[in-house]
This record gives sequence, C-alpha cells and structure tokens, in this order.
Amino acid sequence: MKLVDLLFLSIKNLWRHKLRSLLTILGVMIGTCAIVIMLSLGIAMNRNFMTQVNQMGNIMQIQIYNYNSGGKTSDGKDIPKLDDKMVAELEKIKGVEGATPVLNISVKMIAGKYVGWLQIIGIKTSMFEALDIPIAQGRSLEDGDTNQMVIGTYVPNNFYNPKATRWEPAPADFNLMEEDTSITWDMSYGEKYADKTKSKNKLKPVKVEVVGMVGQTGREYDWSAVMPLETVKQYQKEIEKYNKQNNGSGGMIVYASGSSSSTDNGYQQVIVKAKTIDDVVPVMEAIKEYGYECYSPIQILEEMKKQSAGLRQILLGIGIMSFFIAAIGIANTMYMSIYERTREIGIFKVIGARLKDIKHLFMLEAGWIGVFGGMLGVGLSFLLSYLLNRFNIGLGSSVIWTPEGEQRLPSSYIPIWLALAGFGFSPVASLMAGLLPSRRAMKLSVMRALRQD
Amino acid sequence: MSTIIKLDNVYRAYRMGSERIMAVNGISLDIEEGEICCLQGPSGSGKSTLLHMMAGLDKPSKGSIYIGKTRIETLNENQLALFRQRYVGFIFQSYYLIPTLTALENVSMPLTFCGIPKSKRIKIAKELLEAVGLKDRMKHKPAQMSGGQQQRVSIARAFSNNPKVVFADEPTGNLDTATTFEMMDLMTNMAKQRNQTLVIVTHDTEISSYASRIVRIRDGKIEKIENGRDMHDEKINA
Ligand SMILES: Nc1ncnc2c1ncn2[C@@H]1O[C@H](COP(=O)(O)OP(=O)(O)O)[C@@H](O)[C@H]1O
Ligand SMILES: [Mg+2]
Repeated sequence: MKLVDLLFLSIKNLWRHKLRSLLTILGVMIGTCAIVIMLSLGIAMNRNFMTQVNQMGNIMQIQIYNYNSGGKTSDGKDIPKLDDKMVAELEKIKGVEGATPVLNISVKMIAGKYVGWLQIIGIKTSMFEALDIPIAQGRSLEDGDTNQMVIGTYVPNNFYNPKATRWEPAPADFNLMEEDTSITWDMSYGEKYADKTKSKNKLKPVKVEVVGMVGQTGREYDWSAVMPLETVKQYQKEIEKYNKQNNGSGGMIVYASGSSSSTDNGYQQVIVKAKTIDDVVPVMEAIKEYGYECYSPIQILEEMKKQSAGLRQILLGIGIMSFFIAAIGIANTMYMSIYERTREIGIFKVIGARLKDIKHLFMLEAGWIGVFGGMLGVGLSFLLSYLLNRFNIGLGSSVIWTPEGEQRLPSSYIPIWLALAGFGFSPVASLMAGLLPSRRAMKLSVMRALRQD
Repeated sequence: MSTIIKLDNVYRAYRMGSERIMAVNGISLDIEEGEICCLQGPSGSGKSTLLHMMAGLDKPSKGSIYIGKTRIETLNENQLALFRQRYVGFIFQSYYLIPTLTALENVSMPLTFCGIPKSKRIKIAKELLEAVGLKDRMKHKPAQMSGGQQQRVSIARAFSNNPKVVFADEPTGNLDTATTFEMMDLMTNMAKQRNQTLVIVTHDTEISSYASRIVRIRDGKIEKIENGRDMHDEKINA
C-alpha cells in the first residue's frame, strides 16, 4: 500500500469519529501543553537566577582568598604558597582563561591643587579584558604600561582642595586625564595639619598618568584606580619601607593589603577567570584541591538551583503525569476503534491487506492525533506563556533593578528547543500509545475478525 | 485444462471445550482452471470451512491445499496477503463492504493494497461497476443501496484485482429469486470472460444449473460429484 493512500485513509478514519478524535486530540494538546508550560516555568526560574546572580558580579570570575596559605588542608597536605609560580600553575587548570593576583594599596593622589584618597588595585594588564572592566573614556591598560592607570567613575568626586579654609571639592568638570597627576604614601600630604607633625623623611610624590576612565560597573572599580601589578608591587615595597621608618612617629599608618614581603605566604587575593560558565564549578573544585578558599557568584546560583530543584521536579512530574493521561486516552481511543472495526480489519485482510498495512494504518491514526495534539499543545503553550508573563503570574520574585531601571523577569520562558521537543514528543508518545493496539489489530486472524459483530 | 486447486485429504477440526468437531473430515478434490465448481450440502456440512481454507483465510488441521504449485497452508501472513492479492477474490453472503467507503472506493480497495496508483484504480473500478450495472451508484455508500446492489459492489470488488479464482459463499442467500439469477449470470459471465475459476457454495439446487460440476458435501465429506454442465446443457437442449 502506498504512503499517500495510507495517509489519506488514516485521516479519513479519524474523520469518521470526529468528536472522539477531537476529544483525544484535545487530551494530547493539554498533555503537551502541561509538559511545555511546566518546563518553561522551571527554565524561566533558572534564567532569572542567572540574571539576578550576574548582577552580583561576574559569574565566571573566581576569587581566591589566601586565609589559610602555609597551613594544612583537612587531610594533612601543605597548602602551597600563593605566589607567582602558583598563579601560573592555576592558569594551567583546564577551563581557566587566565588568573591574576589582586593587590590593593591606599594612596593619596595629587592633581594640581586638589588631592584625594585613592585605592589602587593592581592586576596583570593582560587580564584587564578578561575581568570585564568597561572603558568609558581613553584606553585600557596595555602591556608595557608602568605608571599608567585607569580610574573609576566616582574617583574625581573624592578630590578637594586641602589648603582651602572651607570645604572645597574639585569642580564638577574636573578631568583627571588632563591634569598632572602624582601619588604619595604620605596620607597627610598637602594637608594643613601635616606641617605641624613633621615627618622624618620628606617624600617626593610619584608621577602617574591617568589614561582612561572606567564606565559604571557597580563594583569596586567605580571607586578605585587600576594599575599594572608589577607597579603596584613596587609601590607596596616602598610603602612598607616608609611605614617602617615612620613607625611610632605619629605618621599615618598606610593600609596595605596583598603584601608580598619575604616572610608572608604570597598574595592575599587572586582572581581566576573561567572560560565558560560550565567551567566555573570544576575549576573551583580544582582550586579547592590545593587547599585554598574560593568564591564565585555561581555558588549562589548553584544554591538557588539546588533549592528550586525539588520544585522543578514537581513541575516536570505534573507535566509528565498529564501527558501519561493523554497517552492512555490515545491508547483507549485506538483500542475502541480497533474493537469497532474488527470486522473491517478482517475484510481488509481478505482483500489483500498486508500486516504492515494494517499496523501502519492504526499507527498513523495514532500519529495524526499526536501531530495535531502536539501542534495545538505548543500553540496553547505559547499563548499561556504569554498570558503568564503579561499578568506576571509566576513562582517567586521576578523583578530586578538595573541601571536602566526596574526590569521584570519573565515567569515562563519557552526556548525554541522546548517548542520543537513538544512538537516531536507528542507524535512519538502517541505512536507508542498506538503500538499495542495496532499490534492487536494486526494479529487478529481473518476468520475471527470477520465473525465479530 | 490444468488443475488450479488441489485438495489433498484435508481435515479441519474445531475444538469446543473438550469436544472436537470435524467440520471438514478428509476431503480430496481437484478443481480445474476456468471451471465453475459448485459446493452443495446441508447447513453445517462444512462448505464454508472448506471454502475459507481454499481461499487461504483459514488453515487445515491436516492435509494440504495447492493453488497452482503453492501449498498455501504453509504460507506466513505476509505471503498469504500477497497470495490473496494475486489469486483470490471473495464474495460473502452478507457482502462485507466497508460501510464508510463509497461503492467506487470499496471496489478499488484491493487495488490500493496492491499499490496501484489512484488514477488507474479509479479507472478499473469504474469499468467494473459499469459491468455490474451500477454506473449511477458509484458515489453511494453501502447503507444507501439495496441488498442486490451491495452484492453487485461486492462482486465487482472480488473481480477488481483480476484474481485467478473467485470464491463465493452463498452469494445469493439474502436475495430474492429474480435477483439471484441476475447475480449468478453476472458472476458466471464475468468469470468466463476472464477465464477465471469460480467456486460457489450454495444449498439452492436451481443455482447449480450454472455449474460445470457440483460437489455434494455431507458431514465434512464428499458425498458425490455430479457433472452439472451436462445437466445445464440438457436443460437447454430439451
Ligand atoms: N469457528 C467455529 N468454531 C466452532 N465450530 C465451528 C466454527 N465454524 C464452524 N464450525 C462448525 O463446523 C461445522 C461446519 O460449519 P460450516 O463450514 O460453517 O458449515 P456450512 O457452511 O456448510 O453451513 C458446523 O458444525 C459448525 O458448527
Ligand atoms: Mg456456510
């Protein structure tokens, strides 16, 4: 029997019992829709977690804190020193795009008649891109830079005139990129009180050059300057020397972290950037192997996902259950139609139908139910999904605040693959539901089938 | 003339609980190509059972059935389907048309299973329906036709795939006498034209006048074989 004839005949057979076929198709439609919508809620939930967590910081950056360097891991191994050699080793871990130590120093910056406190973050210039620090003006740091720096949006707001009798902040259009800039470790530099407390060694400020401005990040870069790691390391040494000389003499103690003096255990903080989101967790595990503590917003994401996993499983369960009911409906319809048409099957056999013709005929009938049901089901899912989002009916919070303002997160999201899976799944399940009934039709002996009323 | 159907000591037993009923109890018979063979006997004598086995719709408990050179009781379901497509047309007492299909579709159905394209199917079916006198009933469904008309459709269907043998099980049992003769004329003429073999079951003695041979069956056995054609010829001569 030709395929066209089979297709035509199977449609015709469904048409014979319009109402029954329609009800079965509606059952499949609801089943498909239930699965798709339930999955779409779970998918939207995960996507929203991702959006929310991404706001907390870049999800692919892993922070290593060196609290326990030099100590032992719980199973007694030595935790290696977090030095340049170690950073190079971390960079070799599979899935790591790069790693950089992070040094922090606080200095006083001088620009013309204004001064301001400034935190300087030292990172490897090669990692500048990888850390997603946006440049709004000028350029970013490049290899070969030494006393160049990029500064955050809010840095100019810190500047004031120390000699003024009344509080005099820098003007609104104060542009550090156009000023002659320098920094000093003497935090009392230029202040009026500094003249009274006499430092043992008068310090000459170090010249620096502001080459770029960082766009708004919502992170520490907004209030800091970023400089090449090696430069900051050097500054740090000098700060230490300066502190030693002025210790107890009433000079201000300069806060410095991430020190790398010979007695310590290496860098206090290192950032490792993973290549993809999927690399983050394995890379973190590899880092923990060494005994370091590390942190990434992905932990929050994983935690959120873990906590909602049960909910999502329940959703999927409901979906699958509804589809099972639909599949039973298909099987029932097919059995009924085979029972009614037993004699017809016998006649078909007498006039030369092959077993596979009969099997295909019934399978196709089930298949059509699945195709139509699946199509309607996916269509209904999109409609429902739209309505859910439109009227903001969902599971849990779905509003975040971004620089652009309040943003509503969807409570249901149907990715293309889910729609396609819905289209594909329902005919396949229908065919499976039709398999047993059609085998039964096939196996009926001619005479027994003919004798049935 | 060569033998087209050969029954070799065929038995068919039915098990009814602990009882065994021998519906066909050792029948051997040769049917020649182009012959019109009539099976006669009282109700329950095993005629239908025998006919079904010859058409490959049922299998003997013992013995063999040859159609041409093929032993049909050894064929599997798929081979049987192909065998039915090529060799068998079957006419039932109660027509057994597909109620949802029109006359035209019913007649072309066997051709559909043979995989013949639609245009050719329609052409053949139309010719056959014309031949059985239903030119203006092609689009009618079985329920919209009289018993005689339905049986004409079923005759047309049995001939549609141009089978070697057409079997008919009491084809006129539900029809009045006038229609019965019309129907018998129709079947025998069509079979003769196409040089097809016709095996007809009936308990109506008048019908046997169309047969070349009459096989009388009683209790699953052949009681006697008469030469019907001669009787018919004599009747005409008389
Ligand atoms: N499916 C069956 N199950 C049990 N017994 C049957 C069956 N079909 C026929 N028989 C028995 O076989 C015998 C022959 O039946 P059948 O061939 O229909 O006779 P006929 O066609 O000559 O009237 C009868 O006694 C009948 O009861
Ligand atoms: Mg009978």
